[in-house]
Amino acid sequence: MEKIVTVKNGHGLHARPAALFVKEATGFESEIKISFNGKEVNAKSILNVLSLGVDQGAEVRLNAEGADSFAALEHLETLLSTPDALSGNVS
Amino acid sequence: MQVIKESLKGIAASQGLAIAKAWVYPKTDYKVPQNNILNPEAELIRLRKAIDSADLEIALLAKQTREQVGDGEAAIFEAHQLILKDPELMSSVEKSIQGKLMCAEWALLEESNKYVEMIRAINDPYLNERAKDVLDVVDRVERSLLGIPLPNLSNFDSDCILVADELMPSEMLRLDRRHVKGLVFAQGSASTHAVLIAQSMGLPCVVGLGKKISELSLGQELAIDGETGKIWIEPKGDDRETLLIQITAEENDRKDALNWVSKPSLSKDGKKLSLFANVVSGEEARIASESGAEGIGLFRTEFLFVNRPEAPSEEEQFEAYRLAVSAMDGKLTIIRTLDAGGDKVVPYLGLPKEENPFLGKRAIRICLEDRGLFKTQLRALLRAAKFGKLGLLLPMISSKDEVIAVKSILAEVETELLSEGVDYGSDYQLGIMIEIPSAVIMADVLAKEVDFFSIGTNDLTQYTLAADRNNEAVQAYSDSKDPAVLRLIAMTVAAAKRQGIHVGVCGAIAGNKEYLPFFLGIGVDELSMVASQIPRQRKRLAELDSEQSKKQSEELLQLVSKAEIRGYFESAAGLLS
Repeated sequence: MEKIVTVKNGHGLHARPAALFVKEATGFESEIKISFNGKEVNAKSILNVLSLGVDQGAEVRLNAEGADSFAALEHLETLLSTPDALSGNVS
Repeated sequence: MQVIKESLKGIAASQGLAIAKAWVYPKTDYKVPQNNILNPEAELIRLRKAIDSADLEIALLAKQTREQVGDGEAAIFEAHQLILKDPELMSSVEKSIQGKLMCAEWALLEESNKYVEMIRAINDPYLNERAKDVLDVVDRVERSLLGIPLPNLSNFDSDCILVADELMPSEMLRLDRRHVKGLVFAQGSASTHAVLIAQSMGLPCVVGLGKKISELSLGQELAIDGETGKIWIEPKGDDRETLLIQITAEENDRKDALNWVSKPSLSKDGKKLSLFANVVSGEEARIASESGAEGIGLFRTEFLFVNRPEAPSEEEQFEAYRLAVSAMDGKLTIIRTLDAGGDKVVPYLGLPKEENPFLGKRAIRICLEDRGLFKTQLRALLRAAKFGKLGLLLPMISSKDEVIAVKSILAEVETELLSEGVDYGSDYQLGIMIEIPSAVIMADVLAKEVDFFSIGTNDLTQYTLAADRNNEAVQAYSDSKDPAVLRLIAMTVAAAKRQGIHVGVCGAIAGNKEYLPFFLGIGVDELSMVASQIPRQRKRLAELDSEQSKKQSEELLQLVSKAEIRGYFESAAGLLS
């Protein structure tokens, strides 16, 4: 399954927002990938997500394969497209 | 022939002299081995064990930091745990071990370096900084593999001067204060959070060494002067003797001052003048309390907002304010709302570059426009008010209009908190900074609107004399020993007295001994200073007579030139010594 999402978080996927995103992705069983700028990486890898350098307003593609792929995509899409969802504390 | 330097020049950051052996932290006290191995299975087990032990260390640090400092700083350790368990990094390290028979240390170094380079190549300075986090995590695992423990900052065997790039506030708070005699940092600012904590602790500190820091090595004897920024490397002969004598004198002075930590702040004839501390974070309030602070006169909240990509959340701010208010245990804790702009740049606020930033959109002017930002801070403050005695201080007030505007926002915030059923304290005090001459002129009017005044002498001086305090070319004009500045201070105090409200002074001169008789004489209620200055200022206060100080302050206010005032201070100093 795939979804195209526009990142609304004020600072893209930098540092803390990236950490929160990866933490949430890791909670799902499915294999999840995120692509940006022609590069596709494992969404459960903080190092890879950081190295994408996703800015605010960027369009990313999410891809999930597995038992909970539907729920995973729904949840991650909400996180990325809600302006302040990734600004809180990581915990 | 190699020239061995005998001294280096850095930037003075925290006063005091120290002499001790250098402890270079933490960098490369080990070399990563590059060996081939025979048994990849055993190597993988070794790697997993090292990762598990690093994980435990980080979890412990996260817990301690959350308790001692707050969630904001603890979040970094949670990111470290994600890096440590990164599935892509781990699988590539395992592949190198199994496929290329590299030892775990080597495989980890090589694979992690690829990410470090990738992150450094992104066109975003904030993100580039995150490469440090990767290096930090890798260092932890390498040490665990090699059995070389990280130096424990809270427990040194002997006296040392700590040499580092920079320390985190949480590391500063854990410092072994018995053995760490001084600090030398590579980073170049004398106003970072770590430096301000060093000042609070009265720990000598020199910064801005940059690359020169590599000229200092473990075990070398160093002497530092935190007032001039000079560093002596292996001082010898007369130099060393003189330093030792000065250090002994300073230490005696410090020991003597310690006797004054828990005494009340009274003049010889029993007049009260409270001594408060300036802090930049909640945890520093504890240090302030240990130095005998009778309250917090100025908590500058700017530090919660800088060096980060976005504003701190309400929860994070609430934690910091609650920590300060609770640490002071019912004593007045004055927290100033965001004073951004001017020389304090906060990139994510998106402020335009101004020709004249000090006369531009700064402090309350930003907050009144960016309601979301301001309301978040006010909500956090009001919630913290429930835990002690909060004074809410507004910076850069130039007229009654701003006070009225803030009051209506405060009323809105209270209504919102009430309707949401969120706990908050409503018996906080509202105060304003007196730092713009217009506020002094209107002080009688403003005193009817608020519960307290806090005189910011640094800005009051620069605005009164129209001399930028950061501009070397006009330093001679920017001098608080000016008759106009002294008169404005006295006028403000008189207006506060007439209305019966509390008045404090929180600029740099509040901790200065020369001005102490003046402040006592005109009837200031409270002086707020760097915490480590409090015991000494208290001792001096006990030597003063309030009636005599009153007479002196009246004489001082009759003087009409800087030269006369300087002369007056000099002869007063002569009489005292």
